[in-house]
Amino acid sequence: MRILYKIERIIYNVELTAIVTLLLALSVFAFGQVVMRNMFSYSIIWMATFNNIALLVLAMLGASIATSSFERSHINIDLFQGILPFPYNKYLNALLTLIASAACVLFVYLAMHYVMVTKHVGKIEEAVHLPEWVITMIFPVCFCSMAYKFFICFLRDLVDIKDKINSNRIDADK
Amino acid sequence: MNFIILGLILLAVFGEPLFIIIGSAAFASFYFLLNISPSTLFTDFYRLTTMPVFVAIPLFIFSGYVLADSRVPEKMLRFTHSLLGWLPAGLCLVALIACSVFTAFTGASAITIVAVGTLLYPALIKDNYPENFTLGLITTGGSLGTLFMPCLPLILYGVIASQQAPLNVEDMFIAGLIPGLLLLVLMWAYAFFFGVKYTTREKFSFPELASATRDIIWELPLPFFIIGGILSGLFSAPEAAAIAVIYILIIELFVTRDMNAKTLIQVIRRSMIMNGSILIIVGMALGLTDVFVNLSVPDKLFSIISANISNKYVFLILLNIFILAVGTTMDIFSACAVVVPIIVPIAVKYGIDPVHLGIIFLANLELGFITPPIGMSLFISSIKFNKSFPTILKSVIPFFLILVIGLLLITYIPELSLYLLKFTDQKNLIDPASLL
Repeated sequence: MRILYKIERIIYNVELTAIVTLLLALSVFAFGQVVMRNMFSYSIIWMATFNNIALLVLAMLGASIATSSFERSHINIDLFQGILPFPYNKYLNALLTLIASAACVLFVYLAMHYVMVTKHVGKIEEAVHLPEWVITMIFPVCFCSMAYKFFICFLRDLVDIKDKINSNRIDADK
Repeated sequence: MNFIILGLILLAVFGEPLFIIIGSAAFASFYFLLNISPSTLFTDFYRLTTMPVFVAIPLFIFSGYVLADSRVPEKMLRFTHSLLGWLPAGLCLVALIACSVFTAFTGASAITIVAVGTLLYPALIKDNYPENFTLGLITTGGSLGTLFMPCLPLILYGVIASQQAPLNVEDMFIAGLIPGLLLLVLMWAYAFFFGVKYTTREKFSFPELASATRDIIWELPLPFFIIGGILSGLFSAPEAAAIAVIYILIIELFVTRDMNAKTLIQVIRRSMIMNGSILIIVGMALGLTDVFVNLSVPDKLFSIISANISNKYVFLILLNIFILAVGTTMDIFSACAVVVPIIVPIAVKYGIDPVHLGIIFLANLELGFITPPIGMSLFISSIKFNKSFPTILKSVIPFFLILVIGLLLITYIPELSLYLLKFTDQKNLIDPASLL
């Protein structure tokens, strides 16, 4: 179990490093573009393309770290989990994260199909000299990471339920 | 397909992340209704990279979070208090302005209530304002800046609606100014009676104002620079966002040194989690919009509605009720992503300007923040001020009614939203008839 958590932490750190680097680069390049355009009436095309791609990558990476078991920050209608008593709220949470994990596996499959299609089409982002299919790889990679993290959330929920029931039992015995 | 939709609605109500629900609905619709590969959704999602205006979203979120984590809330309160605190109900006005400015920059009421509300609550109580009134003011103030540039929902609406009708984000920024001020003034008018009844007026102190101004001198030009720059057409929304980020980073890291590198990484983490959870919904919703367009959903809905309602004003009343209902069950970002593609084409056919519609839409969703069962501000205030949910709910009722009055004025006086657009040379008012 501990190794699974450790893998989640490693993935999280890699994603966070990429996010910090990309966001700072995006900020500097976007500002650079403003300065170039307004002061020199000039625009660097690769910077603009980079910014647009960085936006997509930041969105997917941000969504991926939001899924981590220690973040759990995705937007949802958080109504029943506050109303239901323990352990039903935890059971509901575990079920929802398991379904989310399965859904993400399906998304990975569909995203891979999309990557294959773009690879077959063979379009290249000329400004950054990068084939489009390489950029689209962010979809399956991040959904794969999300599927794994939702599964870890599911495991953590089960462990929480078990721990709480055990501690209640010990309290009752005392 | 009906079974899938029902299942997805149930999952959404029980708390499944909304991007899973919207994505699954889009994938299923592509496969079962349009008989094309569900992977088509990613073609729509990838369109994020072809719309440069989207770059404004992560940059504005980032700059808002940097401001929230620095000493800016404290400095801003001190400055507005020294400037306006001497007016009757001056502290309430300070609270409303501070909340509006902060929400406009952070785009999320949770941060405003936590960062600004925490400082305001003891100050208002100390000034003898009743607790119930104070809680209502801060809870409602948490979403008051939604109509002020560069608030995130304005950008989102502008970007999503621009897929259906010719408008741009800068139009939304300008159109939101008067309606935003109207709501602020209405709230202050209500607070005025409390100010006169419960508090004594403070004296204006020039030395305090000078000291507070010196304290915030570096951050103070930012809102004026952004508003002025966009109003004068000097730069676009993404450009304003880029300037804001670099300016704030330089000020907070190197000039005032309110932030260090370690805090900055945590700010980036939190802001990009917010960015990711919004944009993944938007990306999935772009796929769902594609489905709606292919199935001519807005056209079909329009023919059903127009068969029963021919009057534009009756339609507007029903639209308000519908959006309010959406706001009570859905957060503002998901509502923008899912509902806007459907209502924009219908409203345009009724002769409603899409920019005006956007302001009505967002003013409604602003109310959604304080309307149960999913009123986010209600939950945040309940936790933050350690009060029961019914106590908070009771406290916002008068403010809710005031905002409803404001909403009706915004709905039935389109000039409130469209008047300023006449003065911007690069933007033209959209004639809805030309879209038909």
